[in-house]
Amino acid sequence: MDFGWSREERLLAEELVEEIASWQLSPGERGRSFTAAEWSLCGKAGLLGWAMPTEYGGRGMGALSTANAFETMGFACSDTGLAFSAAAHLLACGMPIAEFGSPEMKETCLPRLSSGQWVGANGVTEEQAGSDVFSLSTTAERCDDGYVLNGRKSFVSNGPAADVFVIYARTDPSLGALGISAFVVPKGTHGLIVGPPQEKVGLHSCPAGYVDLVECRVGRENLLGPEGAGMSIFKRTMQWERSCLTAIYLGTAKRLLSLTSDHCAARKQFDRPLAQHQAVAHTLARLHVRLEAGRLLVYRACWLLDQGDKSLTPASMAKVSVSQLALDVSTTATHLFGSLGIWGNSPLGHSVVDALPASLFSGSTEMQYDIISSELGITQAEPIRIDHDRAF
Amino acid sequence: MTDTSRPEGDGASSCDREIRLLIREYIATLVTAADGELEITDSSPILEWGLLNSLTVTRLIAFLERTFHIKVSAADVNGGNFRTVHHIADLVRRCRDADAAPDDTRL
Repeated sequence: MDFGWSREERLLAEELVEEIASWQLSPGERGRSFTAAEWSLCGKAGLLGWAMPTEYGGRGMGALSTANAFETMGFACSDTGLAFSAAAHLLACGMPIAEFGSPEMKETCLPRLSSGQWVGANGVTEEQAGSDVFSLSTTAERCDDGYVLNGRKSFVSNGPAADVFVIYARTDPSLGALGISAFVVPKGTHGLIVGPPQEKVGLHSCPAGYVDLVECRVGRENLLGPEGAGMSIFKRTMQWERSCLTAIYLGTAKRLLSLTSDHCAARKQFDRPLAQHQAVAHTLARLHVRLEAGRLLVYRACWLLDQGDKSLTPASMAKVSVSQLALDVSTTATHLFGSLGIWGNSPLGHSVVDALPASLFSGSTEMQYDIISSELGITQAEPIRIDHDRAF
Repeated sequence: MTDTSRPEGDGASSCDREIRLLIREYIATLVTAADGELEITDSSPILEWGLLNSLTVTRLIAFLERTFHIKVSAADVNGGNFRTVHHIADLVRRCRDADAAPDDTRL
């Protein structure tokens, strides 16, 4: 067991910190999505194709290195919305195409996605299919030359800016979760209607909105993987997201704890620095312990992903741990800065609202515990009433 | 639980029957009938009956990989391969055959 990074990996991370810090980005602002110039910077830094194959312009890195890159971005960049957009683009659109796409699909999409020429999005969530994501109602009916998609996707991260979407739709309603298929749908496809960015709390730089599919015709070549493999593709996507995207918040927590420790060392109350007050010192120490625990969970999940492990539990444990940590670190940092923490356009206030969605996206905390308890065999067999008339 | 869907002497080997039995038994541990005994045959439409959901499919795949020493690719986890116990057993056989195939790239 080796907990250290190689020299090359350390150098890569150091270069990335310098590169991202030089962008001098501030926390996102309400109503302002990331700009083309900012997206281009992410592409040039390699972040948008970090785990994509090198033959398609990516860096060809595994999950461990990808998490390290996004932890670095979370640390060096206070615009968490931009980091979220970059990670969602890579992990929920680029990687499904890289892992399940046809050679033609990869040839068309991956070089453009990895360079930043294109923005990628993932459309799975619906108004009535959030945590219960596989109850989605978007349909894909077979037609002569492909499929006709109908339905509405909501909370589509990067949607308003996207050039290509991975859309999940039901191809066989009788097969439950295994009757869902994934499709690659480019912007401009007839019947694909992309709505404007919606107002939301936090992650402002990441535009998100509705995507309507109205008699949207796609060819058979747009099917991602085999028909009925949508659930499996989505689960794989979640393994990537819950481990590597979560790493952004490790970086954010590290930056906020560093900032807060400096503040508590400098600011005096009752003739001594805040850090000399045991209540404050222990609070910070406890959060450092949780940060290290969360980091171990994230990198263990990534290591297992790189080994080909299919269990969802490691990434779910990592996400549960780090999403709550993100909220606790940001609220504690804001509190320890006192009035300064909530004054004006405080970056600490931004960090709180940027942390709020972390317990919701990529599956709510409750869903992570459902996955963990199911895989550990804690959950008992569910009573099922069978309609035998539905037999073949 | 007995399988009455196919007559004896259908050409299936005892190994095939054993695979299907183990799969049936495992699926039975994932669900219980709300209205009495759950009868699963090799031809029962287990997806249409809702016996497998997104969580239990993951457990079933882990069971298949552990029990039959196979690797089930994510692309193989689709409706076509999990419709019935027969379909799952076919998948197990294909994965076994693929693992047993000579590796052309080996020197």
